[in-house]
Amino acid sequence: MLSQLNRLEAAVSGPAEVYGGDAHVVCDRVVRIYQTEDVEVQALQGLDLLVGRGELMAIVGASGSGKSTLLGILSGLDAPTAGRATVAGFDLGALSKRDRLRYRRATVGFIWQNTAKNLLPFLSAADNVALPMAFAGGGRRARRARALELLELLGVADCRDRRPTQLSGGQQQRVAIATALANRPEVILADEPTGELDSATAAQVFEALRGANRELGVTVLVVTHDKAVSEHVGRTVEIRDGRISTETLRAGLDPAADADGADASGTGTGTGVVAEQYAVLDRAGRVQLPREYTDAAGLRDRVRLTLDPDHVGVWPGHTRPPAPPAPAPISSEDASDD
Amino acid sequence: MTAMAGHARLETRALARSVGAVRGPLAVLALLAFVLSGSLIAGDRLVAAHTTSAFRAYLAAQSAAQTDLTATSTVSAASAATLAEATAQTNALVPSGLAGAVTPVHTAVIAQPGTWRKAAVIGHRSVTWAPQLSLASSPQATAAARYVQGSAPACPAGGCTAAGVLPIGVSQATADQLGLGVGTRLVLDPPTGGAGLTVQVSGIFAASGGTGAGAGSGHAFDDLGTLVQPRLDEWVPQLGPYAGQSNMQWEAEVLVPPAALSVVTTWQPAHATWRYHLEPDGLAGSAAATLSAEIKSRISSANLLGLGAAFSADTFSTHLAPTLDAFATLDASASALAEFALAGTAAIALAVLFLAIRILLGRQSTALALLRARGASGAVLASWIGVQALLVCVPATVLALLLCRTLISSAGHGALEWAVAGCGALGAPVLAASVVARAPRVASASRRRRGSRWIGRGTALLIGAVAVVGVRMRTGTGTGVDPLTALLPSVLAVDAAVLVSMLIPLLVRPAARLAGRGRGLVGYLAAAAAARRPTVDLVTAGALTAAATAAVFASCFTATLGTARVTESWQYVGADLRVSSVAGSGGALDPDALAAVAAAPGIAAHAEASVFAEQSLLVPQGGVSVTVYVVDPAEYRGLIRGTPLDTPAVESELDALSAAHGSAGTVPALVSADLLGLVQGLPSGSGPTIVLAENTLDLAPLGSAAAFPPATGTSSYLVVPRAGLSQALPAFQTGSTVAWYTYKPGVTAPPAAAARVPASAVATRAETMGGYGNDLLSALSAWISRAAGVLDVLLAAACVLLAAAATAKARAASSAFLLTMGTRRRSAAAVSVFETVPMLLAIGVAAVAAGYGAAQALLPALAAIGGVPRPTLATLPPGALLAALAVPALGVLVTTAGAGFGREAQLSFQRTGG
Repeated sequence: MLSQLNRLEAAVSGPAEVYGGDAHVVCDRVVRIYQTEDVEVQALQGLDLLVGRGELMAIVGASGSGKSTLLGILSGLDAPTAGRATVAGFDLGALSKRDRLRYRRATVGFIWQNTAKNLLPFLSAADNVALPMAFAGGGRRARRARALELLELLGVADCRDRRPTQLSGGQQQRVAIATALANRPEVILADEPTGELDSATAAQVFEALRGANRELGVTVLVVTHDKAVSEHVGRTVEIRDGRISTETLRAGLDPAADADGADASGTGTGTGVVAEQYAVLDRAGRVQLPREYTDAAGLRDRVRLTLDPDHVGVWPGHTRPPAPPAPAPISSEDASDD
Repeated sequence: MTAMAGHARLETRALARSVGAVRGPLAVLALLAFVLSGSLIAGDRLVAAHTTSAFRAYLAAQSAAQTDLTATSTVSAASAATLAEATAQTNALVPSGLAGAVTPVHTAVIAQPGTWRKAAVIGHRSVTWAPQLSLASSPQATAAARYVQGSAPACPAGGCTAAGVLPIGVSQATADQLGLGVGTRLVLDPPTGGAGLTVQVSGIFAASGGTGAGAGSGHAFDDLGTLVQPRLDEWVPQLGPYAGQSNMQWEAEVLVPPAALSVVTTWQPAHATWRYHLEPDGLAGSAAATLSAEIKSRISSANLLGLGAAFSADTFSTHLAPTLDAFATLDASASALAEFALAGTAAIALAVLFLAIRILLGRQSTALALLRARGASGAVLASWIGVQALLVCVPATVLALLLCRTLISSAGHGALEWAVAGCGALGAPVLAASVVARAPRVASASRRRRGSRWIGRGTALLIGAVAVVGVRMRTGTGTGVDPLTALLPSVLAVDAAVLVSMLIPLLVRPAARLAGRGRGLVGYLAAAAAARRPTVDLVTAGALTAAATAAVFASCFTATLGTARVTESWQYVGADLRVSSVAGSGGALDPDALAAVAAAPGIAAHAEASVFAEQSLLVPQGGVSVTVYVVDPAEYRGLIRGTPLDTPAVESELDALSAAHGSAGTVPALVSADLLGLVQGLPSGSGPTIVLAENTLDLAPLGSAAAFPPATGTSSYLVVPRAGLSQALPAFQTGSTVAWYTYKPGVTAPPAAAARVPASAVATRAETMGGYGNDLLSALSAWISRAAGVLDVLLAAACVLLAAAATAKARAASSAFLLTMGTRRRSAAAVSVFETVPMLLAIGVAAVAAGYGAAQALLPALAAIGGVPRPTLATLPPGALLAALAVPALGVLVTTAGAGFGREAQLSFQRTGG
């Protein structure tokens, strides 16, 4: 996982001038502003995010932090107010109507939290899975075969002739995953897919997502509040106030992940999985410090920064740092603006 | 990236199943398609039936001379075959629009009757001196004649000849009067001299199926009736009595066999007439204008019939075309009024349609969002929704069409019928599909959306203003209603809805702030909800406003016409009853007779006037012909008090007249507006004088009498007080030439004494109103207005119900939330009601303004319609206010009692653990 991160970082700092390089999903200073009557809401405030091809990633964050907004943009149902968002080569801010349709049909699959919202209630499971293929234009027999194949893959083949109301929540979500996979998308976006499920069912659904990621090579982004999900993916990013705040990388989950990363936050899971939480330094040089850190160190309002050969020190403004002081103090307002 | 090839397809099975999922809204849509197309098609067919019925009644009321088509010619030495050939030619001239609606009656009658050589025939009651008989041939009369003695005249085997005896048939009446019997032989001498013709009675006939002349016979036997009855029955007094009997000159027609026609027409020329008697039962009212045009074309092309050498002086004529034109004008006026009435109905129908589609799409919003996310294009979604709607709208429209065609036999306007059916079947599907086909707003800038919203609002208001100005500026555009005038109420309804949406927050927010300072939670919550979260959104508000506006407009329109009709009747008659001197009689009315009318129990007030027409007003510029009204101002004021004629301007004029006094040789007078400039400001000694009944008087102008009611329609007139005239000319006796009477409440008929005033004409307001109310135009437009009114009510109710359904979810959620917060059920219900009250009240106010404004703006267009009164001000009846309040009030009741705070709220409450 660390190597993957390094690869992405290399892509950022490499000779290519375009941010993100060959990353599968690129969010470059994405801004999304909603305006309702007289109120303007900045849901995303210059968010940067890179996701590699075939990655399984979780996005967490408090309510209103911008997670669903981000997924809406990445799914092509919404578009950024400013910044650049690309998925599998599609620039989502500059898509024509036709390209946007093509993108939604063939490049992304979407799964909502509300199980009833994922499937048409008047169609059987197999028909629901076959429907996106009908939109994309495929033969009836091929659609049927592909639908059954996906239902089989997700373990709900026996439900193929049932209507959504005759399925359990877990079954509905697995059929929804099958539906999202129907047109062989490159990216699956799931907005709290286990939010309405009990833990056992949620595990099954998550395992289905993981299976799709593993066996079909699909990039999966899951927005979740469920720790059972976020702690079982190789990479979890946290969004706070419309920006990426922290990233947690886990080793031992993904065979491709590096196991040599330092335990920066000391949050080992104790089950052979090593989780490392990183603060994210964005392209403007801003970093969000975890609240427990700022509380513990008494950091508030103005802070002092010290530049040492191998690190940057952050000191409370009223405390003189042991090392020579930083060239110039930075006001807390500047910091909190991050 | 995998680009999927092929075309997006609509899954038939999925589509079929989706119909079941939204069967409720689709049922509403189907019902709407059925009602709209059915009502319009049925309305058209019923209107056509009504028009046809009125058309036939109108034609039936005309005399045959007005409606029949006639070709005439003078025929000499023509055989029966020649006449048959000419008949075929004239038959071909009959317009195709009259095919089956005319009965041909062909006759050939000798130009001058032959005189019976045997003089002084003694009949039953008189002596007929030298009876004259016309020889006539008529196939129709021959066929209709029933011989009571002898047999039909027929030529012998060798044919009829002038030298032989010509067989004739005579009617029973003629035989009785002239003492003829079968076998009677007589000689007829031609009027111009020459050889006589010997004829012999072979049969005596009566009308077929009847006992008397023409009895039981239809129009086809008119000519038989002529034959049965003597055409001329003239007393000849100078001959004196003979044998104690009065004497008469007798002329009758007798039938000759068709084969004898050549002998008869050789003997002397005959008038051939091909008459096509109109049977209105075979005509459709909608074809009047077309038929008129065709008749004119036929007449212009048939100047010379060219019937052959035996015929001369051919003519083809009818008065039917002007008659048809008169009907077409009336029909066009009625249609114009109907279009005004139906424009509002169309606006409500459109509002209802919008709401139904909105509900249909709202119920499928989740499915549509899912389909869109799964890659369904706008075209696929449009097809999806469109086909759903088609599946129900087409059968519903077809059913409506079939029912209308089956139940209402009268044929309407074919093209219109199919257009309505097409719109009914396809309108809703296309509209729904077009809404869905719109791409969702992706990344659209909010500011741009807000900007476009303001531009849209401004454009709507601008269109409304331009439409009002445009309609007001047009005058005298004829009887038609163009799209602009027809759509004006709808345009103003949209403007009203826009204004409501803009103004409501501005009005309610201060109220919410005030409510927030008080202790009343219900008021605060309701005001806050109304200000910030309107559950009646723009579309719903727009639909309700359109419905209410249409109702107000229809009410105002009808009331305006009614009021104008009443006012016009007052102006025309001057009171409830007017007794005036018959034109030409020249004398004043009998004062005792007028007093007897005034003393009748039902008379409340009366006034008399002397009217002198064409009197000379002399001014320095020359003489002007004027009409002089001599009245008693106090008496006249008492007459018109409380009537529509009683206006401040008239009161002021009468006051001035009452206060004026005359002097010897000088009479005070009010003058009409056109004379004011001539009589004012003249130097002393050269003032105006009036020559009144050969008496010259100086005139003391008091001012303008611009609004003197009896002078309505008169251009130049003077109003002189009776007392002032007496002072100016004591010896001048003025008898009354006109008297007005008003009735006491409840009295509708004039007193019998009114009819006993010698040399007078009586006019009553009731007759004027009744005459108007019973005429074709009024009856037809009233019928259509009633039909439109019923539709308005039905559609407005549908609109309210749909609006309630459209807002039910939001209101239920709101109520459920309040319940879960621990609010009492009664309080939650109150909030639910009060939060919609400001919007609904605003809708009512806006609807009154828009509906009345539209009625006022359309007055010039109304005045341009022939045959209707010309109001100057629209009337806002209490019914309009009720209509404006009823729609929103019903909305409050339904949304609250039905969907807004009903079962759904309860269920939500239970689900949330309340």
